Amino acid sequence: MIETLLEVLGRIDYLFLLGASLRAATPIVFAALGGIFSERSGVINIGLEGMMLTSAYVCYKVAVLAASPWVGLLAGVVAAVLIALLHGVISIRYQTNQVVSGTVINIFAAGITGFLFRVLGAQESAPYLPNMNMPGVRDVPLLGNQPMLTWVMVGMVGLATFVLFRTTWGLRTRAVGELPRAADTAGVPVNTIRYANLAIGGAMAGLGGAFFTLHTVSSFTPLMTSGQGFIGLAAMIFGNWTPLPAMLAALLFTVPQALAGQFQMFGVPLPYQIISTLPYVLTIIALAGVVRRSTPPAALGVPYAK
Amino acid sequence: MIRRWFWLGSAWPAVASVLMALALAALVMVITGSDPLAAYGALFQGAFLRPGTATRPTAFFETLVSATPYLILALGISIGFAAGLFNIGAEGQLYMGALASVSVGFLVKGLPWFVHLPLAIAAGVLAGVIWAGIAGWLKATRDAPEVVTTIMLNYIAYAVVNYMVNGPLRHTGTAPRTPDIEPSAVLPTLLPPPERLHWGLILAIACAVGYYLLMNRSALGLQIRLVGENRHAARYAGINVNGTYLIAMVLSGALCGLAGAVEVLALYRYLPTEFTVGYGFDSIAVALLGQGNPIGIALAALLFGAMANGSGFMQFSAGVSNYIIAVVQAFIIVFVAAPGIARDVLVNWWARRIRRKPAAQGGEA
Amino acid sequence: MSEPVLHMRNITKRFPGVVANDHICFDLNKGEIHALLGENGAGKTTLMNIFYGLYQPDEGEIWLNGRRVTIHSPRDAIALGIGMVHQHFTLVPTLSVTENVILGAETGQLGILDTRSPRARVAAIAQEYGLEVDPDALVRTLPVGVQQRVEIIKALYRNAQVLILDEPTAVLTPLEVERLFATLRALVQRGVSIIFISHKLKEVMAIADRITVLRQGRVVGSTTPAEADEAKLASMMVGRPVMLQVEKAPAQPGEVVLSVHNLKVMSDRRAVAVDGVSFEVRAGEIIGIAGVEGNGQSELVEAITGLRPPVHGEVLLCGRPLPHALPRAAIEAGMSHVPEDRHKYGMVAQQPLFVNLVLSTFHKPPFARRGLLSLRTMREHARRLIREFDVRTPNEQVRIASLSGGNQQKAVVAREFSRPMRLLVAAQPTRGVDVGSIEFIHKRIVQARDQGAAVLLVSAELDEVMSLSDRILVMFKGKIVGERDGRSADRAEIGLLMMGKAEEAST
Repeated sequence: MIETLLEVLGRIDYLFLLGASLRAATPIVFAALGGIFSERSGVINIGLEGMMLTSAYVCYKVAVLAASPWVGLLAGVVAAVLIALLHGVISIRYQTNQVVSGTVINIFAAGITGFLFRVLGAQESAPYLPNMNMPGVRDVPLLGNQPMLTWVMVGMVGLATFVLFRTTWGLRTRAVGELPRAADTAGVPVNTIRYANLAIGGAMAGLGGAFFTLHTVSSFTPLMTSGQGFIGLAAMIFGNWTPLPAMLAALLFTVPQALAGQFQMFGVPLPYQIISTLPYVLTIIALAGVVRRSTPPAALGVPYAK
Repeated sequence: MIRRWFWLGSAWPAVASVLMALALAALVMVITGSDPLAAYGALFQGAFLRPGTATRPTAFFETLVSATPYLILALGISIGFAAGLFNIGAEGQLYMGALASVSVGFLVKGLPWFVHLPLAIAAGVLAGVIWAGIAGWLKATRDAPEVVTTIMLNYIAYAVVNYMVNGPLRHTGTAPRTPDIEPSAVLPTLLPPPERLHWGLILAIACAVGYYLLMNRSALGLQIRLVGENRHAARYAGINVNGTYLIAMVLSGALCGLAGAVEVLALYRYLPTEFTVGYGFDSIAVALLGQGNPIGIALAALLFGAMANGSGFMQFSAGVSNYIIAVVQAFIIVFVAAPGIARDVLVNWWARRIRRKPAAQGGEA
Repeated sequence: MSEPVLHMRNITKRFPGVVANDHICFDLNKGEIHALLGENGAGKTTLMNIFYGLYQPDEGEIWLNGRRVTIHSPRDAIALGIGMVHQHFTLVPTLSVTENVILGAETGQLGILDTRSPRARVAAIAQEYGLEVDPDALVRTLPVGVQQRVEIIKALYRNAQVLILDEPTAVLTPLEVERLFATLRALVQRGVSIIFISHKLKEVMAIADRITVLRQGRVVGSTTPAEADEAKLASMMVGRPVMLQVEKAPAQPGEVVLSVHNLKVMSDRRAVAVDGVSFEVRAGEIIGIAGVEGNGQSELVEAITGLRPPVHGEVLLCGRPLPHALPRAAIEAGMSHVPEDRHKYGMVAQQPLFVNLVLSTFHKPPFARRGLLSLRTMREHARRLIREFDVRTPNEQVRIASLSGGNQQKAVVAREFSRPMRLLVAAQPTRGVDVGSIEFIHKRIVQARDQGAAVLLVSAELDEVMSLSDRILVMFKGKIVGERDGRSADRAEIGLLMMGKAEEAST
């Protein structure tokens, strides 16, 4: 048994494995980035899952109708931003508990997309977004021949880091999430910053949702995001609300699954149900290990009232 | 003035939310080319009025059958809410409860019903307790956010059930499902066939009474509420906050597991790969709508049961997709979560009507 | 004579149930320090929050430099040259000094943050006004006195011509107060006009050019330090003659009730907050702990009451060690605790008053039997305490959140005093409370001592510690740096100890 394992370990193409993990991590990282923007500004975002699901549906439907994945992508992102703003209205304007609001967003998105899917149907295939297999980029290690959105995701991690820590916007966002009174008395409009960061978070979730219907499969199924938004939140916590560590955390959740896939390919008997639970189990373990040592933004979850 | 009397009583926001959600869904129907009045008429008929026949159960009793798991689950979720916990894992606890009950139901043989049935129910409750207890224990000892861990546990529960039903517990037929449970483990019906109304309803009502006593009359209930409202003050006052989290989560899981047990022992009598998908999530909406009040929760469960049960007839006779109820439910919880939305919309509407009147009089003068 | 920079006319602001500002008129001349004096809840902060754009007045006008202005937000106020140093600092602990100063007034192209030139300006302002501070330090690493300098720099960086200081001395030692006053005088000489909000008579007399007294939302009168004395100001503030001194008999200490051995406690930020502290409190005496806030007093209290586990050391109550981090054990052993943060620890805001009065005893007889609550007993108990402790409330069933701060605090005191009490730990027992309630609470604390309880009093108000304590311990950077007898202690000397200057104090 151990010999077989060692033999398989010797035959695995690790670069391929890492590439597959990066691909699988793409929507998770987008969700984590979405979480980072909204939570850095002080708004808990449990609703990322629902935003991704909405985007996945809208991307699919609009891409089919417009016969263009690009139009679909745009529409999906806009839809996710709108859902994010609904979260904003409920939790910022009406000051509902942000976890309740996020849960409401998830149930809302599941209900609406389920209804539309059943009423409007989903027979046709949506056109795919391109894979980066053009000459020149095809052979880039890790990223060559990957879905376009995986490239966007890696770029976004860099961009998000820059925006958060090197721009006026980032400074204001962090101030609003740590001590909104400080921002307010310095003339920074707290709730505007929060709405805007929720919208940015929604756009990130929108990109993540597009990955499901414009890359992975070309059709929609209800609840297809299967908890990846929540895994993204766990990656965000594990990465201490910072983009690059969050991406590494997301990889931590997807590498074992890819590895198990390899084992299965080489004939090691593993039931697929067990493999499919790996990211979920790892997420729980990660949360159990890390939360006490992480430091969330100080004003997270607290509505701002003068 | 209007503001004041209109909003007297805590039930108004919930009622207004439901009405506004129905109105919005009606708008969706008009846009998609259906007749909302016909649809709601059929929905009401299908949920409450249609009489039974020799082969078809009475509509109202079927509504109660649908409302039963909603009620038990929403009570469980509400206990979590009271402690400030969001048990989004009701679905997974329901699945594990069903799995455990069915397993005891067909694996254990030769027991009299008064031993076998309680044993099967207890197995379901215990499975729910364990599944919720994992999240509760991680919350209490490691601060792991229960919102994420319970969701993760849902997906693991789906996979476990899927694996068991396709593998070790699969029966010999073609469809992936378990064998039937022994007759001694069946939770009996209250009325002769074709009615399906079963003892689960009595259990659910008993749970609601128990919930009322726990939350309003017992020291433990007050302890749970104090922790939920201000955990710092609770700790200051000598309450074991982490222990309370665990207790609340365990009680919550016990009820969710019970809901799973009741569903399979009374209705299915075996376990399919996928059953009742979404009950656990819909029940979060039921709990939010019920606002922690057992009567409110029961009425909300009845409403959701009625929608689930009447929607089939609505589709059949009014030609409106039964999934429209998902839209109604989606809008309900948005309005329930932010009662201010409903209030602002309605009060503005009233205010405009009132303002228009003096303006009109002024015009005449 | 200089023209008024600011003129506020008939400002009225109502909140549900109260008129916070009732037709208030207030003016400020160029280059003067005008003190706004009044007790907690008199409406001083509300008036200034209106001026700073945080609230909108219901009635009234604001004239600035001869022009009528409407101030919708702090942004407007800043643009008009108004700066405010709030009572609770508005600095982000995780950001640097420079980042905090430029927040909201950032420069740089394309939204990319420029910190280099602001950093130089921060250093220049600091130099000019003697506000020494490291522009790159993270704010959370700075002592409160230095944080206050950052707040002033923040206002000056925005070219404030009118500076509002809300209770600026609350967090300072006497020496730091002197230093702040020097800075304020330097600012006035450069043409800045200052509104100085305080409830401390001595300081107002020392720094102000003019004094306006507020009481219950109304202007009671205006005067100057030359015309007024402390007693007159005090009666203007409260509306009746006030006992400035607490009357108490000499202490008669009995056996040791609380003894703390070599206690070491970490803060939330995982720094050493309490560093090897040992002391004893005897039955029938009040031990007061003086010190600038943030020197480990909060953590010390939390460790003693079981809210925070110490990393080292022991707490003994009547000779028995208390288990760590178990508040219930402390409660059962006869400890009562008036917590410093009433809203966080002291009460459950949404629960009725009668539940808040049994917060730590509801699970036991007579309030609960066999797990079931007796609401009737709880309400009767509440009615008795309400009478005995003069809690002003319509009845015992209202939510405690609906009571005034003073009555909430009296309810907390009532609850803690209603249990058998061997040790009373009172942390900031009169914070945010009106003068009437302060007198009442002080009287009850002395009474508890006279009935044989050991009392540990922790307060940032040096006057409170000085007037109540039989012995005074001074805490600085997590250590006890001095001990003085309560009757003979010298205010200036305690002030030096509070700054860690033990050598100077003893000479």
